[in-house]
Amino acid sequence: MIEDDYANTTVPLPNVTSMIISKVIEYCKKHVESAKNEDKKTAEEDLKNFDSEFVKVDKDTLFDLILASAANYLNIKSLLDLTCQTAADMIKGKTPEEVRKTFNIKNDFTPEEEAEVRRENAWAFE
Amino acid sequence: MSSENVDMLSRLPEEIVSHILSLMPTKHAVRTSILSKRWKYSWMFVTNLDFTENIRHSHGLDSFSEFVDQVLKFCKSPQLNLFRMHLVTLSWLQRPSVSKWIDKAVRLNVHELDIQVNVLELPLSFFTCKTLTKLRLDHIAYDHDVWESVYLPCLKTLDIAIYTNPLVNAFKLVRGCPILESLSLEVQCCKNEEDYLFDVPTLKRLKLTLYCSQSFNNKVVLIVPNLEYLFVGGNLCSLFVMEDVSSLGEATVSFTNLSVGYLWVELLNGLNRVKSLSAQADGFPYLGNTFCSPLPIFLNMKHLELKGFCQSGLISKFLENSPELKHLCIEKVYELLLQEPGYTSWIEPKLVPPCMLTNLTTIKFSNCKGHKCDIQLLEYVLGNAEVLKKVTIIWESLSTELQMQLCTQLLKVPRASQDCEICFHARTTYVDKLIYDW
Repeated sequence: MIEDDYANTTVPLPNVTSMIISKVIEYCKKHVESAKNEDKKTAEEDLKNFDSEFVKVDKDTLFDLILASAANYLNIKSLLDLTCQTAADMIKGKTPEEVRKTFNIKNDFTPEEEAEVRRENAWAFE
Repeated sequence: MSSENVDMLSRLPEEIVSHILSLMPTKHAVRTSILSKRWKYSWMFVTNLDFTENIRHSHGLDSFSEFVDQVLKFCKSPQLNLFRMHLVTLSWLQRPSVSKWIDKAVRLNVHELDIQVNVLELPLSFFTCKTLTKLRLDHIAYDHDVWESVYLPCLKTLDIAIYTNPLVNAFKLVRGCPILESLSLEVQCCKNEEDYLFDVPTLKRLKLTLYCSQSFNNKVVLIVPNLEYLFVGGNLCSLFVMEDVSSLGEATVSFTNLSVGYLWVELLNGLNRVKSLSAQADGFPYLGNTFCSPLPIFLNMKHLELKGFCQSGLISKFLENSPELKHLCIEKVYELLLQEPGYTSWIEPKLVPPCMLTNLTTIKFSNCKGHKCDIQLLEYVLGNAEVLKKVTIIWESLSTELQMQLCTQLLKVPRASQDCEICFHARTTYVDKLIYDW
């Protein structure tokens, strides 16, 4: 919204709860304040700590934040990267079975189909 | 709506799923193909390819190579943001086809290449890649071929660590980037090389780490009128000639070996217009002897950070020569030897340094062991700095009694600045902070 010259336009945000909006505002405020800080080193460390605490939320909230930060009107790239990286960290390092369990993913492959996928990408599963 | 039983992850839009998969090593992204039918092909749309491996036997190398070939074949992204290949293999194994893979990445319009391999080979297409904006090359050796002429019209960030010589190829790369803004070069210098000339009008950030094993009589010449930040590190064996550093605001010098005093003073002379300086050395050369020219005057310097074995005489010289100094940080390292007079004891300046009358606002002294010269320095500053607002002292490895004694001693000093606050902290005790605020 900063590119458009409308400082007071209302922004339509369907399906985003007020809780999520206030979290997004909290994030943006912190990042703006941090940029004004003269002492760059402590500002950077402080922001890192803020970011890692910020994403310690339940999965519901994490997905809502991902969707909100990606929403075309908001488009907050740094928040999108932070929340997606959190989701990525929850996936990598887990076995497929563990990932399915964490995210409630239903395995709809037949055993033969699953074996074929494993074969096609053999090295990834080593 | 709770996600107790709902699979929210799979419901995310495809672009977001690709984004998430792009933020992990490619091996893990490909593994998601087995989660469910919805996930079978999602990994093919990642915009980052990240292969980091340590290969110890030829079977491992074969299957890894097949994997990379497969991923590159099926990658459906019209444009790669990042291609990262950090591959450490045992030297007797067959060389992996890194050149072929880089070629494929270039054809996928890659923006960022991050390559760390035993032996670097670059395909022809690399040297004229029109999409590359960021390049990192970190390798142990490379073929002694002289590279093709280089033209990388979009490259802004270049980061090279090279341990074989000569540096002809590295400089070819630097000269072949018309809009280069950020350069980091880590090299092993050797005798008989030509002077290093950096003539890059677009450069804003430069980091030079030079390791020299023998006496090395070359010059490093900097013609970088738009440079804002400079880092120089390694060991200091070269004469730095700052022919044009007119925009330089911030500099960091960090050396392990600073035995040649005059080279250091020449370097500082070239940096005398910076606003912010951080100087770190295992030991700073003694500037008291007559063979060493004096420190320059730092007309614009507002921030100064000194880390390492810095004797009190050096600190007071910096204070004398920096009329605009506002913030001073000292992080001290203590050596047991050196008893030369003036080297470790505090010598009061003849006149109060000008910065202390009008500008010096904060001082931070970390790793302080409370030696006599340290306390004398602090007492002098407290007693003479008229606009001082905050003094922070972090005690290192002191007994509680000694800390109390020193804190009391410093608190009793009559302060030149009425607004001055002193904060004491301590490390290596279980109490995180001891704060006495007066």
